[in-house]
Amino acid sequence: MDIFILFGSLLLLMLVGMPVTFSMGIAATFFLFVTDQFRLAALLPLQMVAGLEHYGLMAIPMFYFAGAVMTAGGLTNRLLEFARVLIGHVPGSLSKVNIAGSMFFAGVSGSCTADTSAIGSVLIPAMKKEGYSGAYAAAVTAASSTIGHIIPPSIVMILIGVMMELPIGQLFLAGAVPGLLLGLALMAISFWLSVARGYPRAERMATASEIAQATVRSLSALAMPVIVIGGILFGVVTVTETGVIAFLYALIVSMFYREISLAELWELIVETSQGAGTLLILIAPASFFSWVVVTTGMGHDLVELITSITTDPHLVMLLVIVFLLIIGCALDTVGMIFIFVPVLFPLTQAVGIDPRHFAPVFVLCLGIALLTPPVGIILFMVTNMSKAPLTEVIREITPFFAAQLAVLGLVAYVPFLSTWLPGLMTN
Amino acid sequence: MAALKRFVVILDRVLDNLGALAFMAMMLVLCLQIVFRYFLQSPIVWATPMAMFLFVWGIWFGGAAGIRDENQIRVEFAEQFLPVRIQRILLPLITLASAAFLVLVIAKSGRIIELQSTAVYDTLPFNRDVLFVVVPIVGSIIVLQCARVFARQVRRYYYPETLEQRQG
Repeated sequence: MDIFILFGSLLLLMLVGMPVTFSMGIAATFFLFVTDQFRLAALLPLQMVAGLEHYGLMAIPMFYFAGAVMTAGGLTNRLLEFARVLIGHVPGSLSKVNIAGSMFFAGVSGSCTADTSAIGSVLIPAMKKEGYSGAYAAAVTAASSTIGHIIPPSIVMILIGVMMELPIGQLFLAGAVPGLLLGLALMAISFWLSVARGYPRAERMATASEIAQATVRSLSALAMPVIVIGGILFGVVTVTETGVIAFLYALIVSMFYREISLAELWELIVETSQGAGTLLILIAPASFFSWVVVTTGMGHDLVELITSITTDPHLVMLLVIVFLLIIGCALDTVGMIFIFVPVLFPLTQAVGIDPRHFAPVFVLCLGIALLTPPVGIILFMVTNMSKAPLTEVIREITPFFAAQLAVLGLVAYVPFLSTWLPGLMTN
Repeated sequence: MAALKRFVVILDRVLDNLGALAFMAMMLVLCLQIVFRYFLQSPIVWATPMAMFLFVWGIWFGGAAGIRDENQIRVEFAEQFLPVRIQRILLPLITLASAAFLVLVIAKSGRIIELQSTAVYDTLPFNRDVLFVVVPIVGSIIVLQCARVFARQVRRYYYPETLEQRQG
C-alpha cells in the first residue's frame, strides 16, 4: 500500500505537469504526512543539500561546459566534415554522416538533446536539399542522437554512478561497446534503406590528402573521447578529474583557435551554470525521495515482492525492460532516472545481474523512451526541425527503432558486451 | 513599480552571475587540485571540500534561474489534453504548491543550520552551517521566482492582453 501511495502520488503530480523537482519532494512529504511519519520531514533540508555533496557529480557541469565551448567554436561542422570524407562515398552518405557525427559528438557532449540540436540543425536541411525526405532526415537524426546517452562521457551514467555508489569510470566503459554496436546497427539500417530507395552518395571517394586535412581540422574534437576513455581506462585520473581536463582542453582549444571571445565565454559559463543547475537541482529532492524509499523499507519490500515471483535473472531482465519501455512512453528520461534507478538497480543486483551489465541496458531503454510518443522529446525536436508530419517521422523511425530493440536485446542477454571493457580496467 | 522592476532586473543579473561565478570558482579549484597533485606532487587538502561547497551553491543558484525561466524538467503531454478552463486553474496552483513546499523546506532549515553550526570542515576556515545557509537564502529567491512565474501564468491565462502589451 505504501508503495502505491508514494509512487502513485508522484506519478499523478508529474502527469498533471508539476516540475519533476517539486513532484519528488511533495510526493515524499505527502507520503510521510499520510503515514503519520511527518516528523521525518525535519530532515528535508539536510537531504536536499547533502544529496548534492558528491565528488562525481562535479564532472557534469565540466563536460557540459566543454561540449558547449567546442560546439560554439564550430566543432559540429568539423566533425561532420570528417565523417563526410570518411564515409561520403557509400549510398545515402549523408545519413551515415549523420550517425557517425552523432557518435563523435556523443564523445564530447554526453547529452542527447545537445546532440539533436547540434547535428539536426546542420544535417536535416542539408539532407532535404540533397533529396532525402524530411521525415527520413528527422528519423535518422533522432535515432542516432540517442547514442549520446551511452557513449562516454555520459551524463546519465554519472547520475547512475552517483545514485547507486558505483564506480563511474567503469560505467562509462560499460557503455562504450553497446554505444558502438548501436551506431553500427543504425548505419546498417540506413545503408539498407538508402540502397533500396536509391539515396545519393558522393561522386568519388575522398583522397588521402582530403582525409588527412579533415582529420587535422577535427583533431581537437576527436581527441576529447580519447582523453576521456584513455584517462579512465588506464586509471590515470578519476571521472571528475577527466571532466576538469576536458574543461581545460576545451578552453585551451577555443583560445588557440580564437573562436570565442571572452564575453562569449562568460555567456557559456552562465549557460552552463543554468543548464547544469536546472538538471542537478533535481538531485536535492530526489535524495530525499530515495531516502524515504530506503528508510521506510519500501525498496526492500519491492525487491522481496518481485523475487518472490521469480529469481531468474533472464526473466527479471525481461520484465524490467518491458516495464521501462512502457513507462518510458509516459515519463521523461530524467524522471525515470531519479525514480527507478534506486529501485531497479537493487532489484537486478538481488537476482545476480552485474550493475555494469544492467546500466547500459537501462540507458538503452532511456534512449528508446526519447523516441516514443507521447513524451519522446527528441521525436518532437526533429519533427519540428524537419517540418515533416509527425506520423511520417514515426513511420520512418520504425526500422531504426527495431534496430535499437535488437541491440537492446543483445546487450541485455550477452553481458560480455558491457562487462568486457570495465573488466580490463579492473584487471 | 519602477523600483520593483529595477530590483527584479538587478536580482536576475546577480542570480545569473553568482551561479556562473560559483561554477567558475569550482572549476578553478579543481584545476588547481590536479596541478598540485599530479605535477607538484603536493595535494591541497582543502580543494575537494571547497569545490563541493561551491558546487552546491552553484547548483542552487542555477536551479533558481531555471525556475525563473520556466525551464524545469516536467511532463507536459497530459496537460495538453486538459480543457483550458482546467489548465488555467491547475498550472498556477502547481506553482503555488511548489512555493509552499519550498517554504516548508526553508522553515525546517533553521534547526538543521543550528545543528550544523558545530560540525566542522577539517580543512576549511568555516563550519558546515555556511553550506546549509544555501537553503534559506537561495530557497527564498526561488520562492520569489515562483511568485513571478505565478504572476506570469495569471497574466497568460486571465489577462493575456496585458502580457501582449508588455511584450509589445
